[in-house]
Amino acid sequence: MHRALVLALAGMALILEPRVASAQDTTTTIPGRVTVGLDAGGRVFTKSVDSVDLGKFEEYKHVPSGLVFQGFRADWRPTAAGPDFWMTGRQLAERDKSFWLGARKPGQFTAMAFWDRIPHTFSTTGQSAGTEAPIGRHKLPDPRPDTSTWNSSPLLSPIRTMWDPVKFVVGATPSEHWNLRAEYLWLDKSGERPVGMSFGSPGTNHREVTEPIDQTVHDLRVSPSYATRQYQLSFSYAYSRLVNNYASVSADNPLQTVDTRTAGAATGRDALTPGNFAHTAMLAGGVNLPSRTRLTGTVTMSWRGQDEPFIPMTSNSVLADSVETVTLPTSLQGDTRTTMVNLRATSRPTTPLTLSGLYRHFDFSDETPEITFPVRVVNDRTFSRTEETRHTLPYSRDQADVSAAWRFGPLAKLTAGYGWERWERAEIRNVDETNEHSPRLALDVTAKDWLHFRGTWSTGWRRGTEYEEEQEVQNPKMRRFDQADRDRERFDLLADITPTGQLGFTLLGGVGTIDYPESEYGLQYERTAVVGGSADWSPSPRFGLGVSYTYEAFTATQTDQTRDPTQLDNPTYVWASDHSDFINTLGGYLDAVLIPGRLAAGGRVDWTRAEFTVVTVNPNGTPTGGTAGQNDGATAKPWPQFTHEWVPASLFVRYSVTTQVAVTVQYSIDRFEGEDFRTDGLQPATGTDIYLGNDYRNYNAQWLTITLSYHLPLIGTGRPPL
Amino acid sequence: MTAAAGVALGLAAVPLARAQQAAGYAGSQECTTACHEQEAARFLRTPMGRVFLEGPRSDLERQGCEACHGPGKAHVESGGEDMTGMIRFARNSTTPADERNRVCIQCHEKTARLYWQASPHEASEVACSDCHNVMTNVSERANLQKPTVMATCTQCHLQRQSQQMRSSRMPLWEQKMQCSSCHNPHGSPNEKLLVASSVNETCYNCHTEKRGPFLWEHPPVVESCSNCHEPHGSTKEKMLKLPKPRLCQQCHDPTRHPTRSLGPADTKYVMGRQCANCHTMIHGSNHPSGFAFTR
Repeated sequence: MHRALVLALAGMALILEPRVASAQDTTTTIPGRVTVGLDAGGRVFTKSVDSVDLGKFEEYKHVPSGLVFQGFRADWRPTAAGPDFWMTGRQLAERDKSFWLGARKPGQFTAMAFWDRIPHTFSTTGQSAGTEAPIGRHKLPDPRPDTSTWNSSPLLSPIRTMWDPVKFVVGATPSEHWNLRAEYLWLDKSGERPVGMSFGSPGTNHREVTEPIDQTVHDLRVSPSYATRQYQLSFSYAYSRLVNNYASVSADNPLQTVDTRTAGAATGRDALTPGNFAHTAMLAGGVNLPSRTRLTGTVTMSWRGQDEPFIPMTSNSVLADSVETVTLPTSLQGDTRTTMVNLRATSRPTTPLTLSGLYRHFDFSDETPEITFPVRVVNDRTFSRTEETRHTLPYSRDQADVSAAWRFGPLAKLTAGYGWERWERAEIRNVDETNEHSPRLALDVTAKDWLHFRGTWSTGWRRGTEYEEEQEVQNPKMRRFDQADRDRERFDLLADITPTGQLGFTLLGGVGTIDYPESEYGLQYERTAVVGGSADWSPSPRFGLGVSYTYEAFTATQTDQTRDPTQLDNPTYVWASDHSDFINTLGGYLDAVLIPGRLAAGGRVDWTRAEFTVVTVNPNGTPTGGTAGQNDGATAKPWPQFTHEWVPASLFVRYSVTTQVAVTVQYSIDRFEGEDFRTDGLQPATGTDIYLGNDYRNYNAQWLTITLSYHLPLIGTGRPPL
Repeated sequence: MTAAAGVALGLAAVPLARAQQAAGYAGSQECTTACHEQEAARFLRTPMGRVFLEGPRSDLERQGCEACHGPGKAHVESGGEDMTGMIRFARNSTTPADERNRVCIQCHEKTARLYWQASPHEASEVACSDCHNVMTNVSERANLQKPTVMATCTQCHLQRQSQQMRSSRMPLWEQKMQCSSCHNPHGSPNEKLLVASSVNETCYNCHTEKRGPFLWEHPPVVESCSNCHEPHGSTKEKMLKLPKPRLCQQCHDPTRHPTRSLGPADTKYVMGRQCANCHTMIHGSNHPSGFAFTR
C-alpha cells in the first residue's frame, strides 16, 4: 500500500515540471504551475532495538527500518491573482503519518483539512496468562494460573493508543472588518492502555489489565468577528461530543473462580468513562479609547452533561441478589456549568505611564440532581444497607490585578503590581474560602540596542477560613496543599543580549519558595531554582550555530504520621519525606552551507539527566510503643533513586546534485536509560497481585537514513530532531 | 521569471495610493528596485507580502513597505544613511518594542490578538517581531522566527524546552502538538494565556474523556488538572508532580495503605501503578460502586 503510494507520487513528480525555490522559502509557487517536492529513501539501523524494548523509543513516534517517505508537497497557484492550493504529507510509511490539504488566498480566505496521527505506546513488555474475548472481557482459565505460569506467560502485542484527528478549517475575511472561521474536528481514539482492577481494597488483590479504547470526539466551532480600529467584537460557539463505545472492562479474579459473599467476585468490572457533551459560547469585545486606553471584556459560558446508563452495582452474583431488592438510580443526568467573566482595562495617560487592571470571575456549578444509592458495595466484596450520596463540588474563583508601569526614558521601565485571588468551595471541602494576595515588582532595562534585562520579584500569602479537619481515620492535623495557608516568594531574571544582529545570548535564572506555615502535617515547603542560558550565532544566512543549557533543582518536604486505631498519635510514628529533583539539560544545533548550492550539513544534539530522590525518615527516632508489626509499619525507609538520561541526536549532510535534486545522509542516535524501582523488572505475579509487567525498558538506537529529495526546499528544512 | 521580476510586476499592479504621495513617503518601488531587491523578493512569497504587494485592500496596505517601516523618503534621498523616523524590526532594533507593536496591531488587533494590550508578553516588552518574521517564510505557518512554534517560544522560555526533555512529556518534539495548542501567546482573557477558560477546559480539548460530569468526582480533579500534573513535562510518570504514592499522600495519609517498605505485602501500594492499581478511576468514576474510584 505504502509502496504503491510512493511510486504513484514519484511518477507524478516526474511528469510535473519543477521550479526552483528559494533556499529559505517553503511556500514558493509559480503562477500557472504545479510544483512538487518529494523526500524519500531508506532507513537502516546500525544499532537496533529489540521489540520488547521499543516501548519508550516508540512512545510517540514510529521509526521502522526500510522504506522512508519523509514527506511530499504539491503546490498549485492557477493564476497570479488567484488562490494557492497545496497538499503535504509526512512520515507516510510510518505510524505517525500526517496529511495536510489546503487552499488560501492571503487576506481573503483559507481552507484546510488535515489528518495527523498520534501514536502513544504504553508498553511492549506486557504479559498475560489470560485471554481477551470479546474486547474488554479479560478471561482466565479455571483453575487459575499459578505464579510460574503468570511469570512465563506470553507477551501481549504492544499496548498502544492511536489518536486520529481529522480537522477541517475554513476561514474567510470577506471585508477588512469581518473574519469568519469554522472548524470541525473528528478525533478517533483506538487501541488500549493499562488499567487496574481491584478485587478488594485495601488488603486483598488486584490485577492489571488493558482498557479498550474506542472513543470518538466530535468538535464543532464557529467564530465570527467584526473589527474596526476603534472596537472589535468576537463571538464563538463550540459543540463537543464524546462517544465511548466501551462502557466497561471486566477481568477475572486471579485468586478465585466463584462468587462468594465474603471473598468477593470471580470477575471484576470497572466502569469506563461515559460519553459526554459540552456546549460553549463566548462573547468578547474590545474598544480603544483616547489616551491609548483599551477596554476588553469576555463572557464565556459552558454547559456539560452526560447521562449514560449505569452498569450494575456489582458483578458478584451473590451480592447482586441483595442489590436487586432495592431501587437504584439508572443514570446521572449530569449537568455542570461554567461561567467566566473577564474585564480588563489598560491605559497610557502619559507617555511614560501605563496603568492596567483586570477582574476575572470563574464559576463552576453542578446542577446534577441529587442522587443517593440506598446500598453500598465495595469492590464486589461487601454489601451494606448504608446510603451513599453523591456530593456536588461547586466552586468559584475571583481574581483581580492592578499594575502601574513607569518608563524612565528609553533605558528602563519599572512595573509594580498587586494580584488577589479568592476561591470559594463547597462545604464538603476542608476550607470554604481562601484569599491570596500577590504583590510584585518588575524592572525592564534596555541598554541601547544590545541588552534587554528583565528582573521580576513576587511574593504572596494565602489564608483561608477555618480548616475543617478530616473525619474518620484521616490524620486531622493534615493540611491539603491546595487549600492550606501558604507563603510564596519568587525572583526571576531574564537577559537578552544581542551584541550584533547575528549573535544573541539569553540568560535566565530564578528561585522560588513556597511555605505552608500552618501545616503540621502535609506538604511543608517547596523550593525551586533554575539557571540557564542559550547562545545563537548566525553570521550569515548560510550558517547557524546554537547551544543551550539549563540546571534545575526542585526540593520539597512533606510530613505525616503513621496511624493505627491503637496508635493514633504516637510521636515516634511521624515521618518526613524529602524529595529532590536535579536536572541538567544541554542542547545544540548546527546548520551550515559548506558549499553554496551543493553541500550543507547540520544537526541537533540534546542531552538531559535527571536524578530524583525520595528520602523518608522518622524525625523523632525509631518507632516504638506499638506492636512489633506496628512499629515496623511505621519505620520509614528511603526509596531507591529515580534517574533518567535521554540523548536524542541527529546529524545530516546534504549534497545537492542539481538545483532540484539532493541526497541527504542522516545519522540519528536515540538513547534512553532510566531507573524506576516501582516498575523495573516487575514480574507479572508479585505477591497476590498481578501486573502486566509493562515497564519501559532502556534502549540505544542508532540508524542511518538516506533520502533522495526532489525540490527539497519546498518541503521545508525544519525537520524534527528525530 | 525571476523573483525580482515578480516583485516588479506585483508592484506595477498596485494602484498608487494617495497616502504614498504624502510628504515623506517614497513609495515601495523605491525600496524594492534600489537597495532591498532580495528582501522584497522574499517578502512577496509571504502571505503578508502577497496582500501588500499584490492585492492591497486598504490605503494602509497600499503603502507597501512604508506601511510598517514608516515614511522612507529621507532614507532614500540620503542613500540609505538617514534612518530618522524609520521603524526597524530586527532583533537588535533601536525602535522600542511598543512602537514596533503599534504598527502590527493597527491591523491585527482582532480575533486571536484581541487581548494583546496589557497581556503578559506586551507588558514584558516583547515585540511581535521577536516571534514573527513577516519578511520571509521560515516556518510553514504563522510566519514565525523559527521553524517551529516550540523553537520560537523557547527562545525565551528555555526551561520549557528543558521540560520537554523529561521522561514524561507531551509529543511536542514530534510536532504533534504545539505550545499554541494550549496557550495563546497574543494574550487571553484566561489565566496563563490559556486558550480555554480554565486549565481543565483547556485539557478537555483533547482529553475529552476526563470531562465528565461523573457520578463520583475527585475534588482536586474537578478544580484543576495542574493540582497533580505538570503538563510541560515531568520526571515522574504520567507527567505527575510527584511519584505516587507520595503525590496522593500530600492529601491522604497512609492509614490502611502502608507504604513504608518495599516488602511483598506492600507492593500494591508502591509498585506498578501504585495507588492507581486499585483506585483506577481517579479522574472520576461512573460506576454505582465507584465512590472510592476503584471501579
